[in-house]
Amino acid sequence: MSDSTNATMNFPRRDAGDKLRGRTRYTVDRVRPAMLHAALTRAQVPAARILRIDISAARKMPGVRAIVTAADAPVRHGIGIADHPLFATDRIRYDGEPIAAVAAETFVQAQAAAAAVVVELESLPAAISI
Amino acid sequence: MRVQTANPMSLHLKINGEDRVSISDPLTPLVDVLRDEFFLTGAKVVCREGFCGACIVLLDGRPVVSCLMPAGMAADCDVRTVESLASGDGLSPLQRALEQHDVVQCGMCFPGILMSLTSYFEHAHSPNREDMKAALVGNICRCTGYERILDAALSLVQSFEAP
Amino acid sequence: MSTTAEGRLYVARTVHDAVAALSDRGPEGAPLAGATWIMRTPLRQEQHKPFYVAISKIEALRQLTVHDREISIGACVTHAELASQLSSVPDCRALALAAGNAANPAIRQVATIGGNLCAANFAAADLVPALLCLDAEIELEASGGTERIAVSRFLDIRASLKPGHFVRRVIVARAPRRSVHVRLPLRKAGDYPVAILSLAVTLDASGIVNSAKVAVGSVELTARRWQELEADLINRPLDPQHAADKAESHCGAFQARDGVEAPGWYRVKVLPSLVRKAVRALREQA
Repeated sequence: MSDSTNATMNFPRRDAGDKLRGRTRYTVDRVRPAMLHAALTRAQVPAARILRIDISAARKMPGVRAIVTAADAPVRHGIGIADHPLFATDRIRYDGEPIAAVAAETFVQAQAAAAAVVVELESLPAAISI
Repeated sequence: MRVQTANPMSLHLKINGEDRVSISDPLTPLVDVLRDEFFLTGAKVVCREGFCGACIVLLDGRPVVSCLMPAGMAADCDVRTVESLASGDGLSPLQRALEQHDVVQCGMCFPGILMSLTSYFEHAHSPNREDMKAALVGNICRCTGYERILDAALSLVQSFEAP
Repeated sequence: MSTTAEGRLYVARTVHDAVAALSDRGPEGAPLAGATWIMRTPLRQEQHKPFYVAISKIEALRQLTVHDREISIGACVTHAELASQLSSVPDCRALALAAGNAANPAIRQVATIGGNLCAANFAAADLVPALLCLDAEIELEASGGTERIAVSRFLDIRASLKPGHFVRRVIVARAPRRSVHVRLPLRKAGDYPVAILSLAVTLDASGIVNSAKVAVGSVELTARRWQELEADLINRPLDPQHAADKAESHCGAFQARDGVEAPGWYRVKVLPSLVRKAVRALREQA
């Protein structure tokens, strides 16, 4: 983009004021009556084949309203190219990869249920150095 | 929400000059009482370990990490949050300096930084860059690299304005 | 007054009330001071005690008095108070430095000397090695009275204190010594140090070291004295390089701990440099 006048625009950011006042409501600041809270079950190994995911016990835990996995959301996302699965399907590709998401009435309940999702794995070698 | 109502004893807090009563369990972190019960969402929950400073509020004029402060220990103390700094739609001199020096990016760290700096200015005899850096050791900012924050705060010292 | 009707947190206003409340709650209760260790219990994947008795509002535990012979520090004196009130007491420099640089400003406003001593699994505690090198004593509230023991002995028994027993005061005898406290965090400040060294010496008129107390923290789970190095420091002047060389030869004395921020071998590897830094600082003190 060419600008022959070499002018600069020097406005303060329009969102700075509210951020400084503490008024800006980030996602984590938003609250609605009876809203649910989410927690993720994440892979704790960098590489594995997924043999089985069993959400049945977690689904019955107190306060739990829904649990989703790749079967419910077989989508991919990404910047430029959508090649990144939302949830791990047949393989775990990185430590921390989401396997399931739990929605429950409180955050503590969601976390407890996320920890109770059963994931059976067959370990695979991981590339952890260059 | 972390509010639990098991405790029949109510908790008297003084927040931003107002007397408030909390029904939270006294071991609830103060940051959760401020955010979830009183909707003062300026203080942020990030690390929950006392390292990042996003939750810093002033307790009797001193900065504390409200994520590690049981609400019961703040009873009858003077709690000040970022929401107390400006009146109405205005900005305090410190807030204005930060805005004018174009410091704010994502903004998540600023409530904590503002409370740390407010306390610093209230207690420092001769504010200077090195001491200010030490005062901000417990405030982590991922976006700005800190230098502009220091420039903005120091500009107040030079202009002899009370922050 | 000491029933559990108060709920999970009872804020005691006197030592007597605290003792009664803690005895009443038995092994299900624990004292709470600055709370910065206790409030991170869930992060350590541990369980909270059912009951806490807050002792940090007890005035008697918050007093710091500098006498001619000793300094009396209430268990609930904060790091910030220690740093500011001891800044003009040269013979306790190690403690003032330890208190003034630990953690970050907000933590220092509430974290107490008693808490720093009592957090048995907190390997990177700053005040503990400083108190070791200053030969501090602990005054314990014990059944029916108080008991005074050396800090090193307290470290041995702190994990098994009986309910109702807690630290009342820390007493540091005054002496014409120089002391220093050096620490190596990964960043310049604000995180747990990888290794901590506290050093106190007394010198004769010609600058020869009469006595040396070296304490090392964060390298092992509990801070402790480094007697092998102490022996090599006495009867000679302060010599940073010599001290560092001797430190290197005595590094085998440690069973260094691996941590998420640094492995054990690294903690020991940096000790000679910390020794050099500490001895140089001592030499430069008036």
